[in-house]
Amino acid sequence: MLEHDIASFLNRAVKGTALVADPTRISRLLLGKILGDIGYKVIFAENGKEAVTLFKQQHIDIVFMDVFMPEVAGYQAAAQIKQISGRQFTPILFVTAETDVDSLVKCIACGGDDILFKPVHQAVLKAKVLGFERTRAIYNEISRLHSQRQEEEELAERVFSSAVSNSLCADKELLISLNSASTFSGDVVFAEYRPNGDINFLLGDFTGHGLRAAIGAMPVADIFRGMTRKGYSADAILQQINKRLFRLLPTGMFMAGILVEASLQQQSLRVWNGGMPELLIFNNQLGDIRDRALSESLPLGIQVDLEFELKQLKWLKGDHVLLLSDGVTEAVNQHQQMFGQQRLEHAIKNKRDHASFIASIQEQLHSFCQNAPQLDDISMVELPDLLSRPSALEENSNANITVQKGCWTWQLSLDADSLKTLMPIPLLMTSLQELSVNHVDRNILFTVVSELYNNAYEHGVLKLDSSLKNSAEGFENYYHQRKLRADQLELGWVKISISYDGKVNRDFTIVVEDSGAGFDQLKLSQQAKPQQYSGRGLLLVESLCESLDILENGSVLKVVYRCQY
Amino acid sequence: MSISSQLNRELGQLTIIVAGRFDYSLHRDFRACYENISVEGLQLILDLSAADYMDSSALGMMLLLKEHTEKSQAMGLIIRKPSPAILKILEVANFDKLLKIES
Repeated sequence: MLEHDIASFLNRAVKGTALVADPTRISRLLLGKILGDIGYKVIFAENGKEAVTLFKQQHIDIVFMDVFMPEVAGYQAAAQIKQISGRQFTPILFVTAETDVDSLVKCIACGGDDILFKPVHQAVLKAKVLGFERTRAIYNEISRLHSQRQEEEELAERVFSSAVSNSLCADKELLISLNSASTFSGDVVFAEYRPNGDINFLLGDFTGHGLRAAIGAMPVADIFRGMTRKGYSADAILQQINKRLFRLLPTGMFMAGILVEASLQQQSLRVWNGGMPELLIFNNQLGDIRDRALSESLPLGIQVDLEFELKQLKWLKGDHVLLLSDGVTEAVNQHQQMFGQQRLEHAIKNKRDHASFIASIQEQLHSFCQNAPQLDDISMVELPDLLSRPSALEENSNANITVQKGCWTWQLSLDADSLKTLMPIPLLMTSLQELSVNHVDRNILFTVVSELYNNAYEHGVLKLDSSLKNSAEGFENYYHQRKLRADQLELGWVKISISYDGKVNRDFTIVVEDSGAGFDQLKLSQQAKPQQYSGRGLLLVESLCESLDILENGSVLKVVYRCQY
Repeated sequence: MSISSQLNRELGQLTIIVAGRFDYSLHRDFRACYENISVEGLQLILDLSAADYMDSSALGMMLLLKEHTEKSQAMGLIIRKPSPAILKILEVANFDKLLKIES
C-alpha cells in the first residue's frame, strides 16, 4: 500500500458511540481523547457492572474494556454484553498492560474480538477500529440477506401451502400427519372425492427435502385434483402426473408415491405403490395386519412411459389403511439406531387407547428418538374404518337447486380406436357440470353411466366373462385380460346417448348400445339370485334408477333416472 | 461418509466407491468422480460394498450416473455389491429393473 493510501485510510472519519470501561481515571481520559479525536461520541464506565448497565440503556457501536475491574471483571462483562447484543455485531476490544498468554487467550475466549496493549498508540487504535467497521459491514449484510431469505421462504411457504394444502375431503375422511425436516416438506398428501363419492388419495415423497423437493408438488396437486374431480381413473391420473414430472424435474429427482382409490360403493381399494414402504391394512376384528401392498412400480418422473397396474384389494368392515413415508422406519435415535419395521408394527398392533394408529406410532417414535435431530420428512396417512361409519354414503347435500326446464340430448359414438384411447365418462361429467346438474344427481349419474359403459365395453365389445370376477385371483386375471383384449381390439363400437327432459319430471334417459352380441339371459336367470343380469353392476344401476330395460338381447340398455334435487 | 474413484484404463474401468452413508452430502463429490474425465468405452462400476445406508437422493444420484453413462457412450454401468439394506431400498424403488446390480 502506498504511503498516501495509508494516510487516507487513517484519515477516514469514524462515527458512532464508543463505550470505555476502565477503573483508572487517567486511562479513561486518555482513551476518551483519542476516540473523540477520531470522531466517536464517548461514554464512560468505571467498572464492569456499570458497563453492562450502560450497554443495556443505549445504542453502542464499539466497546473498549479493561481486563481488571472492580464489581464485575472485564471477562464477565464482555460475556454479558455479547449475550445482550445477540445477532447484532458489537466489537469488544480489551485494553490491557498484561502480556501473560493465558489471560490474553481468555480475553478472546470470553467473547472479546481483539486486544490493544497499553500504552495505546493512536494510529494502531484507529486502524483496528476501521478494520472492525469493515467486519461490521459484512456482518450487517449477511444478517440482511439472512432475514431476506427467511422472508422469501416464508412467503413461498404460504403460496405453496395454499396450492398444496388439504381439501375438505382430507379433513373429513382422512387422518394426516406431516412432519417436515425443514420449512418445506418433500412429502405431500392430496385427497379428493371422485364424482361418485369415492375417495382418491395420494401420499408422495419427493427426492430430498426442503424447497428443492417442494417444487414438483404444485403441478401434482393440480393434476391430481382436477382429474379426480372429473372422474378419471387412477391409471390415467398417474400417467399424467408421471409425464408432467418427467418433463419438469431434472434427472435425479422424482416422486415415490402411493395412490389409493377407495370405493365405498364397491367396498374395494385400488392401490398403486411406486417406491414407497408397504401400505398396511389393519383389521379390528382380526386384531392384526390383514393385508399389505408392496412397491411394484418405479417412482414417478423417471421414465416417460410407465405401465400402471393397480392392485385390487377388498375393503372390509373394521379395516384401517395406513400409508407411511420412509421417514418413519428410518427415523434415527441418538445411538444411530433406526426405528425399523418391527417397532412400527408393534406400535400398530398395540394401539390400545390411542385415538388413532398415527397417534400410537407418533408416541412410539417420540419415545424412541427422544431429542435426536429429525433427518427426513415423516408423514403418515390413515384411512379410518369408514365402512362402519353410519350413513357413509349419505351427506353431501348443500342443496344448490337450479331447476333445469329445457330439454337436451348428448350423444357420443366411439369406434374401436377411440375406445382404446378415449375416456368418455370424464367428458360427460364436465358437460353435466356445465349444464348445472346438481352434484348429488351428478354423482349418481356418474355411477349409472360408468356401469353401463363398462358393461358395454367390457362384456359387449371385449367379450369378457364377468364370472371371472368371482374370486380374488379372478379379479386380477379379469383386469389382465381386459388390458390384453383392449390392446388387440380392432372392431367394435359403443354409443352413449343421454337425454334430459325438464318439462315434467326432470328425467334422464340413458341409452348405451354396443356392437356385441348381447348376453344369454336364460343362462343368467339360472344363476344365483344376487348374480342376476351380468354382474353386480347392473343390479346397482337398477336400484338407483326408475327403470332398466334390457333390449336387443342385452346389447342395448336403457335406463331412466329421475332427478332428486 | 466418503467417496473415492479409481480409473483403470488397462481394464477399461472406472470404479466409484462409496463408503458409509450414501446421501445428499456426497452430491458434489459424486459428480466430480465422473464428470471431468472421458469415460467413452469405459465400464462404470459403482461399488457399494462399503456403504451401509442410502436415501432417496442417492437413488437420484444413481439416475444421474446412468444418464451420464448413456450420454457419454460409456460401456455400461454396474452397481456392485450393495449391502442387504441398500439392496432393499433399490428393490422398493424398483431400481433393480432399471439398473444392473451385481451381488
